[in-house]
Amino acid sequence: MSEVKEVKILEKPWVEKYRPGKLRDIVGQNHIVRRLQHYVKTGSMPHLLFAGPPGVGKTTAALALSKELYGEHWRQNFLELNASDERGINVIREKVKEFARTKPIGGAGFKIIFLDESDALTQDAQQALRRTMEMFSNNVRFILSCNYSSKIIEPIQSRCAIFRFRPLRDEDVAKRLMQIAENEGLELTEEGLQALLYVAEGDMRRAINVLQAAAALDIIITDENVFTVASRARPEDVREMMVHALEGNFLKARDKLREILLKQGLSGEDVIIQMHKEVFNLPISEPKKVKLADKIGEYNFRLVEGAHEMIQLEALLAQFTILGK
Amino acid sequence: MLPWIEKYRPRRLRDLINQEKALPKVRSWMEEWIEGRPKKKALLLYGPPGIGKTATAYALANEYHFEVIELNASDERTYEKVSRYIQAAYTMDVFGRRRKLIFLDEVDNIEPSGATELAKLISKARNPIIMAANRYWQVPQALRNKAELIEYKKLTQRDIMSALWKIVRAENLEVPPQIIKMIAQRANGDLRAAINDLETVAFSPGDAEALLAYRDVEKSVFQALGSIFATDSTKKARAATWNVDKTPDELLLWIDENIPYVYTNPQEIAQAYEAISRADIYFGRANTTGAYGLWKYALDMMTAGVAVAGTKKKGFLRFYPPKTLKMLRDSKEERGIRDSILKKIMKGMHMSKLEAIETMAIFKGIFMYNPEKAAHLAVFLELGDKEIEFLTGDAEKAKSIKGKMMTIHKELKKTEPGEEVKVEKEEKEQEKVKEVEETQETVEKKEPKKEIEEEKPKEEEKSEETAKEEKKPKQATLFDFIKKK
Repeated sequence: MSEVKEVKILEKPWVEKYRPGKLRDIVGQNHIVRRLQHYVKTGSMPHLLFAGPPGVGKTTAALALSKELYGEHWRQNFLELNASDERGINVIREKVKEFARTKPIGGAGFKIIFLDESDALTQDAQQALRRTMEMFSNNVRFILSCNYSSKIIEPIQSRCAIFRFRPLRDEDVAKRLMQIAENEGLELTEEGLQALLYVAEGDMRRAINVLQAAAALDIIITDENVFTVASRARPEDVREMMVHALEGNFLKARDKLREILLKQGLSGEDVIIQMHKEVFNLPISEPKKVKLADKIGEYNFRLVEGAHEMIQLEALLAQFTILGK
Repeated sequence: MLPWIEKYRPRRLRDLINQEKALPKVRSWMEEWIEGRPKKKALLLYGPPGIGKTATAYALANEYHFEVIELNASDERTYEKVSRYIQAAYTMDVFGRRRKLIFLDEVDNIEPSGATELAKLISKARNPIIMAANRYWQVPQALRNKAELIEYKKLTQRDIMSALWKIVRAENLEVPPQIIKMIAQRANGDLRAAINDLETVAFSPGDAEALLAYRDVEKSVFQALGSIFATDSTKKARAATWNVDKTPDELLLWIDENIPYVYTNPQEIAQAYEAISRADIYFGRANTTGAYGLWKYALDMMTAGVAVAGTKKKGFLRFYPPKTLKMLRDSKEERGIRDSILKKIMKGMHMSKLEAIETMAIFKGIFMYNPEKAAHLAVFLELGDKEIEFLTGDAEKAKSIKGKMMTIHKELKKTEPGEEVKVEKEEKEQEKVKEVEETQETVEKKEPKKEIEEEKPKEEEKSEETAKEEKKPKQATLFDFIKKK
């Protein structure tokens, strides 16, 4: 029982505490788990491309795969990188080089590099990545993780086994939440559970994060507490911004945008993705939604081309003000 | 035509007003450089704005035949540029070109890390460096140590008035004395501001008081905005960017800010934004391809394109500086703290940035309402004091969390020597890990520090796994529970 006690001394974030350590414990992705288990059995695998929405198990699968492949040596044989964080492909390349320089530990045939948010890399950077993948392929296997596999260049896709992670079903998320609630001694009300499923939108990580924060308010998980907690993680802001613009209040919309960009630190691309997600939930006519989606697309394109993302997003909001009328 | 502030910039040190105490020190420092053995390689001139710090650098350079390289210390790329000039200047001497005097403005705004790097560069400098700051106590210690500190005094209203009268006479202007007095009063010791105001008044006949009311800091950029937003003529609008003391990039932000204040009809706003959106695309292409010829189209779009976008308001237009610049400045520290929290979440919890942003927002609630639980997260993520305060938004709450963290750390320490209690299997595992680490050490030479850092999570990891094994029977019962339902 000493282990349990030790865990109690330092309580980890629940997404870590309850992250499945074994492939077989990953929920809702049976087709993928079976293929990955096969790699473990044979001890060999190609490069992998994990595609799917956030919070469905991509990172967890990569971690679990390494743990099963390497056992206690997994930390030495596994390198986690983030494409959006590593300041360019050169930094990534250097880190890969450094990591690939040494042999795998514990008799494994290769090391694994997990590159999160691979779709954040530009086309040019992806070309460079492809060369890097080839250069070290005798020693290293890449697991590339992304939301949309279509954003990954063809030559990389063709070098990877592609795994499409499905959005999680509510039953799967509910099952896990109930296990956690039981284990943590929480009273998860039916309304609370429904609220969690509603805000999670199939994202297990968000569901567990919100559950943990709600549990910090009260051991009884009510829908009210869930919504209070979830409202802090606000894509609400983006929606609010769009509504201001559609109501013709450009200045208010612009202020909101600046707050989101500068204070909350979202990138222009993040904002435009959120806008696209929200546009179909707005209280406007169906043809208008289509028009707005088209505008969002146009300005997404301009955002990539232009120099100041704020200018482009403001211009997009100005388009909203005339289409809203 | 030069702006007056440059036209009437002192050519020699003795033309500077009312800095009798400072100037001899500056001169003897320069003499030391000329002789090749300066006691300090850099000067730090400090004092309120507009009293002659920049003027000193230029006058000095002029007298001693140096070329001024003016850089802004708060610019991210300053370090890079400084290092380039420090090396380049030396080699250029060979070709008989003028030596460089590096003028670094606003060193009280420099990043602490940048300051350390810059201090190292100064030690290696082969060219004189003059730094300027408004508040010397905000200049990082590392830089202060490298420089001779010289204080510049605030100018009196009389100093300023006499300087203004000189210009009035030189320009052959007729300006009522009460206007000169008003400008000098408002300038509050800042001669640069006063000269800019005088220039504004001289060229815009009308109610000087109203004119000066909002022309506080930036002068020529307001004039540029005036000609863009007040005209329907593409020619006049395009001419507006000439002689503006802003880069096209910055001007774009100024125009952006003011569009919705000048145009109020959504159609017009959208059209003006369409114009600057196009302008920005030209900038983007110029930046990525290096085809800077594209800038002229960008300038067309942001001036003429905006000018023709709508009907003009009658009467005075009031312009505002870009709020975003201020927002960025004001939130610099906050953004730094936020980013470092995000980094820790990304690393500790295997997340992308966007996921970390969401997680941080959700965790904020825990930090605000439940110090006990928050302390656990803070220990896990290894958060620092400022980061905890950022998440609680309240120093008192942060304090209570820090107290609880101490307890957790103590408890964790206590269990460390008690490892014998652990299961046998785990002990074996640990031995293996140590072996592995040793072999790894022989394979590659790593810094010992890294090794130690890596050791910690390993132990945590194990406890997690064993804990999970423990829980498994429990999970099974839960499955049953769901089936029954």
